[in-house]
Amino acid sequence: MIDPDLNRSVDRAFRTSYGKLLALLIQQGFELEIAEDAIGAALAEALHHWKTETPPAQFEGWLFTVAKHRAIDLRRRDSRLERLPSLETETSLSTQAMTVTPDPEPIPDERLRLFLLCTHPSIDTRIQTPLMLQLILGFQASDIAAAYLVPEDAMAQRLVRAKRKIRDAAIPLELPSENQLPERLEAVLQALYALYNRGWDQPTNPDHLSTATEALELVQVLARLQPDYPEVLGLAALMLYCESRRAARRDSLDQFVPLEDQDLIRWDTSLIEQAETFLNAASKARQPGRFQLEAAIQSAHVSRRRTGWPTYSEILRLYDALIQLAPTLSAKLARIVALGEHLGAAHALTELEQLIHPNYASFQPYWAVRAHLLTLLGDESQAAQARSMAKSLSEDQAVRAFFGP
Amino acid sequence: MTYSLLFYEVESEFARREGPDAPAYWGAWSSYIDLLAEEKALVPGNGAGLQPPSLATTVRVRSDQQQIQDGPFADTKEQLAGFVLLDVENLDIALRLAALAPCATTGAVEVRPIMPNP
Repeated sequence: MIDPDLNRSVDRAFRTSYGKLLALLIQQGFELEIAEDAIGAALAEALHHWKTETPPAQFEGWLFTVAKHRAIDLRRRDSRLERLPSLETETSLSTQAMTVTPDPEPIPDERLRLFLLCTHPSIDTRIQTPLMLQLILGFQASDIAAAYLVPEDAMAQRLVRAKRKIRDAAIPLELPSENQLPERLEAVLQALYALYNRGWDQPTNPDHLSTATEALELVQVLARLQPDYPEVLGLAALMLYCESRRAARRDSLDQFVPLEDQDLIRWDTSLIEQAETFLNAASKARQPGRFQLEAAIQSAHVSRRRTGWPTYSEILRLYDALIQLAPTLSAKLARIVALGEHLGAAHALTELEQLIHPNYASFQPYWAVRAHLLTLLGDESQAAQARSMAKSLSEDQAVRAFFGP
Repeated sequence: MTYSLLFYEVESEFARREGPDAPAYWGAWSSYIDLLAEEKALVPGNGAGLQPPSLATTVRVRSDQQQIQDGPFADTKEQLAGFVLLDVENLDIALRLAALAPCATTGAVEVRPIMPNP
């Protein structure tokens, strides 16, 4: 009978090691599918072996050794690969694995190649983040399916298809060349940003908490792997700032609370400090980028709420810089709000009405900003129309309630 | 790994095959094939340029009836113009070489692995 607590703690420790084990097996030349199977087998042995003993201190080293032996076995058995000249000649040692002395060194962290693999341009963008959740964080298809609100078989099938493409189209498992790295990393950042955003709405929804938590975990892993890439640090900072406000975004009645009205006590100061650390590290590189600017804007809002400085005039300059780099509709709308604070609602409304962007009419924040400005200007009937649009375009109950009955 | 590279061109590109631009058009393709050969990527004897889509005929058989239609399979802006087979180590290399094709800037190149030998 497996002790459920032991099972859970092994399971948790295992999941946090999963990505490192997979990445290292891949770096050592094993195919993705073989590596996955090998790690699964190593886990089964671990659970079996440790129901009566405590796991060794170098848990990962032990797991890797067992997994590698199994991977060698599997590769030899795979008839497609019998023709490969470079097969190793070690005999199967998986039954002897329990007595193997694990490597006292922690295993090297090769997870960058997993981040890059999952976001390779030839992989369907819709499956990139589920793939990251599976390969880097070791989640099962069933958990991932729940987070994406799709049936389990559908998600399992999509994941299998993506991995089949990796194998059959020979998407490389090696790291790309130095000069390709910035562009490839950008794709990783976009994917992580999208993942975090999935968990942004409905902040008290436990499933959304999990998606945001996973995105945070992934970005921080990436930041440790690529500390010299300031946009990675910038994204980590941005996410941590956003996450720090989770508890403040809804009140005790689960009603929507806008940034201006949030209770500072409910902000998580430890997350804010971590964000500041990342942002400071990023700015040392003196390579401004979109995520660093977004993080800087967040930092400015925190500071403004706490101390009154910087003012919206300074914040506006950050938005101008952001829009130069990334003229998204969201950024333009956020800038218009800041403009309204600095120069008045009339000025901001003029800019809003001059905004040219496809799809603006179906973009909820457009109507939210419009409603806000019209309310400030006292134009109740137009404001009501805008509120009604903002409400109808939102699926979040608290946000809908905020815009009226 | 062997990949097919399927070259798709827009009508204006097909039109350059004759007339004053012809030397530039054919010169570009000739250089490209030479490049693939130099990179030892080209599987020789396994490629071809195709005549324009106006010379195509499409055949289908439905319920034992042959349906023969004038014209290419798909009525799209970009049409199949030629193909080669490349033997390279991985997809990234194939993609890099595909991006160098003369039609890549105005049309498209599809990169698809061929069936492995059983």
